[in-house]
Amino acid sequence: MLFGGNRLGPRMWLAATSIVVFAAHFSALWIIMANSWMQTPQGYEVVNSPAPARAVMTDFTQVMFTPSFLPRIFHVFFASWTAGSALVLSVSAYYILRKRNIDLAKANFTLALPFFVTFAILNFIAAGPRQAIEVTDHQQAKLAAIEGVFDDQSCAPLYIVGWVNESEQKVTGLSVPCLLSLLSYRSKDATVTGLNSFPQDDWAPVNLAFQVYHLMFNLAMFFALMAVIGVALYFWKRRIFTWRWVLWLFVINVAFTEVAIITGWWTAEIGRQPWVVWNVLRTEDAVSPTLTTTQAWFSVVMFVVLYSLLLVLFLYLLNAKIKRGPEPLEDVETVDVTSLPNTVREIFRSHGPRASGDATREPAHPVEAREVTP
Amino acid sequence: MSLNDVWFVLFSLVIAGYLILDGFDMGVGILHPLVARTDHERRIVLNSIGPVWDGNEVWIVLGGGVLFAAFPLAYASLFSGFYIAFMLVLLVMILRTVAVEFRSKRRSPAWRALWDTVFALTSLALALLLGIAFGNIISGVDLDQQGDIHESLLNMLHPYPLVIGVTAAAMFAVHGAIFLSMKTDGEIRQRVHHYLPRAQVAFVALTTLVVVWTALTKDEVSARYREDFWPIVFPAGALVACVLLWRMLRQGREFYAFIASAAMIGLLLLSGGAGMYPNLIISSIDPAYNLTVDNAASAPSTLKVMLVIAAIGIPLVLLYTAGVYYFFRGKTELESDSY
Repeated sequence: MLFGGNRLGPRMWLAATSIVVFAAHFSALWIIMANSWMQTPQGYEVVNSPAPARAVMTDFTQVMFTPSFLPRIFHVFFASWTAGSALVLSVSAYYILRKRNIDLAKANFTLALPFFVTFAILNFIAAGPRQAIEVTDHQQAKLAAIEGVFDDQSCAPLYIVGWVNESEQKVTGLSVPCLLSLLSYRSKDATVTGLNSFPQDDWAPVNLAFQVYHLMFNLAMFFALMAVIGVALYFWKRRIFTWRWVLWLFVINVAFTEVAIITGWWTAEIGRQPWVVWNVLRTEDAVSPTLTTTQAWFSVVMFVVLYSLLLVLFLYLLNAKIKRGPEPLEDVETVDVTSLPNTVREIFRSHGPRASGDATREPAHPVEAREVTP
Repeated sequence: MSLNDVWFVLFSLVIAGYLILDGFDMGVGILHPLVARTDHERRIVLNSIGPVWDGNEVWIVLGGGVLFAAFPLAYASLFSGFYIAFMLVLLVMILRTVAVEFRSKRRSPAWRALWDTVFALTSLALALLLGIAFGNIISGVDLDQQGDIHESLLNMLHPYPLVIGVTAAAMFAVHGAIFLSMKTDGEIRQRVHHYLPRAQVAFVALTTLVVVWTALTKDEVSARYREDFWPIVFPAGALVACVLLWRMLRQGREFYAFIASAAMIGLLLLSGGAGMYPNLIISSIDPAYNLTVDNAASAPSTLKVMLVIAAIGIPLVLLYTAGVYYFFRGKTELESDSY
């Protein structure tokens, strides 16, 4: 995909790009599969001899398709599509605001908007709630932690914002009455099991889990709102391209999608504490016996320093690339695409991909030019 | 041959594949400051591995994955016991990746010089670290009854692994030089041909030293070769490949020289693997504590399921990897989407 632009015909380039798209989904699939087993383990037995004790797989299908896997993979797919389309929208909105590459920017904006709208809304009304139901069914202590429910409660409220006082076991904040019961159990009078029904040793850090979860939740609401605004202004005489403050919102929106993805992961991982494998293996028991505190600090500091540095450089380069933008069409070096190999057979028949088209074969059609990004 | 043995062979082959593929990337990195002077030349050298280097690096991830899934106890011991060493390997690999990606993103000569230096140093460091790791595996480590390794970083830096580290760097320099010779022409290629014989001499001398040293002092490994005669085909094959490499270069048949060099690297790794078998980690405290293909393996059902996945996946990976190399064959030219 990255290096094929000058060497492949349109169809094969699309094929190469499609393989990348497929592989990205496939990669997410296995990562979420492994993590879902840690959230809702099944299809294994713990064998004690020979020592050390270990979990041994008994059923591969059960290990692959744990209860949390399907809800989570769709949640992750939708979130990734949302973030990806938000990036395209952000760059396009920036060009429209700066009155540069207007045609290109509008075309890209129009292309990315339906994706953003579809996936932001699907995540908010379908995949997100579906995953919350799965957590309710299989990880009650986690649900109680992320919503700050201490005592068993019927008609439990859903907090929009709040602060958990862990010692007094109270949550102060803004909430919608009975909504948590309704969403989790599809009945407004259902009882949500509180943290006090579980040993305190098994609680996640309540306020932290609550805060990261609600940050993600509120951002999801914000994305849904952005989606509605985007669609409304697009169909209302294309005002989306002239209302500057909405365009600016779309410019910064991409950062929020990143924050939402990260806080979503934190919700899953912090909410799972103190377990590494839910109700099977505690985090404190999973630590390597030879690992010292100094070593752990060394690696944490190393990664924080390295990645902070790289993040700064990355943002700097990305920003420079966006600000430079694509070259105007008339300056762009073009490649005669009709002479490039456009089927698998052509790729392997041609003698040297560069030499194939230039002189030996006359293109059958008038020369079609493709823009090449320098 | 049991299921565990099959996985031992597969693991060895994946690591051999990594060394062959990322080996020439490292070699190109090591040679890069020597053979390329101008910005244009440096870009040519960098882009000779441009479309393939990150695919090559994934083989080490595959190697880690195979070890994790097939021999989890060995994986746990190694990655915990060599914690700081692995962090350094990660640091080097991350910086090397970033150097390739960032280098040409700005025009400033200082910026480019910085990332060129990072690319060369991290390529060299990675080759050294891999050699040092290999040397420690062959030497055996402080592995106790619980399967915990107690080695400090400084303990790992004794002479034997250090020499293997330098040998690895020389080996990858030879491998990378042959690759560059295929992918470049003009002045770059002349300079490559200036350094290639020197790297070959260094490599052969160092390898001879390592082989003698191993045979004389590494009893666990040399005993394997005395007990069983047939594993001798691996080092013997490597020697044949080394001679063929030299002959092919003399005849100017670079592609075959590259194949010979790849075969040589693979066979040298397999020589080590054959010497280790059935051990994965050798304990210097008591041979009874050794982690082997039997006591460190996953359950048979897991190994079976993974074998099915590997049987589907690995041919597919080999097929498209070969396709990519074929597609990007020929001398490297700079294009608008080059690094």
